[in-house]
Amino acid sequence: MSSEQLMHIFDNSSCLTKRQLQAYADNEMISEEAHAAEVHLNTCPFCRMSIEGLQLGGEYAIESVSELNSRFLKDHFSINHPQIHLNSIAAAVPHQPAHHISKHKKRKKTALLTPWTISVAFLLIIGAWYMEFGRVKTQPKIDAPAHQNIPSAIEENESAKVEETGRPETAKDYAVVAANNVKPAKPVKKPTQTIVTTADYVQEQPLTATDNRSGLDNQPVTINTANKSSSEEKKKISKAMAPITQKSSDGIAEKRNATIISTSKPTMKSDDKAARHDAALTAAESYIDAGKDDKAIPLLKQIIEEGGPGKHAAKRLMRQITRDDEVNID
Amino acid sequence: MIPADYRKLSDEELVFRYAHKYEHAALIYLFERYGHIVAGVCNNYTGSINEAKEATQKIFLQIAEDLVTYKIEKFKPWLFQKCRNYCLLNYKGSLPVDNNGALSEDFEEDWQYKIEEAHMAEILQPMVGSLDAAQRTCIELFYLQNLTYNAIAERTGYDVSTVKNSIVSGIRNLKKQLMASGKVKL
Repeated sequence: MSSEQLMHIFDNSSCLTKRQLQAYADNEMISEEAHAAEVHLNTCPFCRMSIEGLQLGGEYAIESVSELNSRFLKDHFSINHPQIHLNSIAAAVPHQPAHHISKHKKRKKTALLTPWTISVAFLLIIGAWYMEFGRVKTQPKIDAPAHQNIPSAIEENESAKVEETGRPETAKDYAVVAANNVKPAKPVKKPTQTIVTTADYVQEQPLTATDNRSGLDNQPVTINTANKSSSEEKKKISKAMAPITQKSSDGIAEKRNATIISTSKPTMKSDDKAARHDAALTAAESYIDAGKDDKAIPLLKQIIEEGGPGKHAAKRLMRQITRDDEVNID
Repeated sequence: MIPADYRKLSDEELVFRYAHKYEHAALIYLFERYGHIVAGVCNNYTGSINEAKEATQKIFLQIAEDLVTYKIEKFKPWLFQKCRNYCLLNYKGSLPVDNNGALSEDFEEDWQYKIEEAHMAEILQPMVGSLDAAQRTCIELFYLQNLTYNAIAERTGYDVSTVKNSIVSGIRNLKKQLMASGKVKL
């Protein structure tokens, strides 16, 4: 026994091919080929069992082995892992410009939504708004409202009266309340608008002010008199208001004082002391407001001499008038 | 179709290319290499070549997933075991097949490298003489006189299957003796 021949006893050759398997199973091999195949079969149970199986199936089984193909695997891979043949597609797709240019174009489309563009648009909007509405601030404001022309002494007096009683009673009281509630005037485009206050025309009449809102000086006020029977005085008031509402705010104070004085004169001649004093006091205030102190002093002196509830107010007004001259009223 | 260089690659290299490089052609070539053998094995269990071919396709589809999932060191023994398990699982009712004692140890493919070639004759010659008569006779006739199974059967009067089994059993016994002697480089 030679060592060369025994070298093949532990054969490590590759398995039989399809053709070899068929040929061996069909006994179509010559003895040398069959011996070579059997050398492998001695050490390969896989091929040995396969040949036994094919020989068991007969000629049909041996022939059928050749029908085996790997198409099912290719189908399986094409379904689960589809491969795109780019070269075949390339011919069908029309030629396009360079790839980097199309990418750049794509980025340009989305550049509208970047934070830079948004911030620039926001700034432009703010600038446009400022150009449109910012100019309003530079426009000149109108003159001070009419209620600021009311003497502070009267306001103090009347406000003290309102505080004492807890609620306004006369039209003048309502005027004081309205003046206290007035906020700083807003810029108004039409400064020639009519300004009417209730205290200018009505005295000693219990009124209920339905409109006590801010900006009263710039808005006409609707006055509802509590005493419905005093229609004559209403007419007087409306008569007095009619010419004034058509004039500018510059002459309002003078007209108002003149109206108050003219409406107070009849009452000053009445027998009722309190009413007479109130009317005289109101007229005196109007005279003081108009700068006619010499006409106000006799009225105030008369109130002080007669005495009564209006005495203290008259004294205060006298003190205010004669402060510079150091007149001792007492 | 199949790249020519795939024919030069071993089973393990093809498995690596399929599992890690996703080269489907590698698995297709493995099917070309073992598909017909698997079909023959399945025919042992199914008894019908058509069913055997269908089983072969299902086995390879399963392999296509398993090769990616599991690490396969020796493809051929693993494929053989996979094939047998599939058939046993799906064709239990079939007649049991005598596999002639085909064991996994028969796949020890590196035996020739474990024995020093210079000492091959000195080691194996006394071991062959220690085998029983049928195995010794069949091995000597097969490897010395290069006779085929059929020729040995004609000369000795044994059945072809007996000749085949005697040779396979003799080789297995030689391996055992080599392992016991400690003359094999493990």
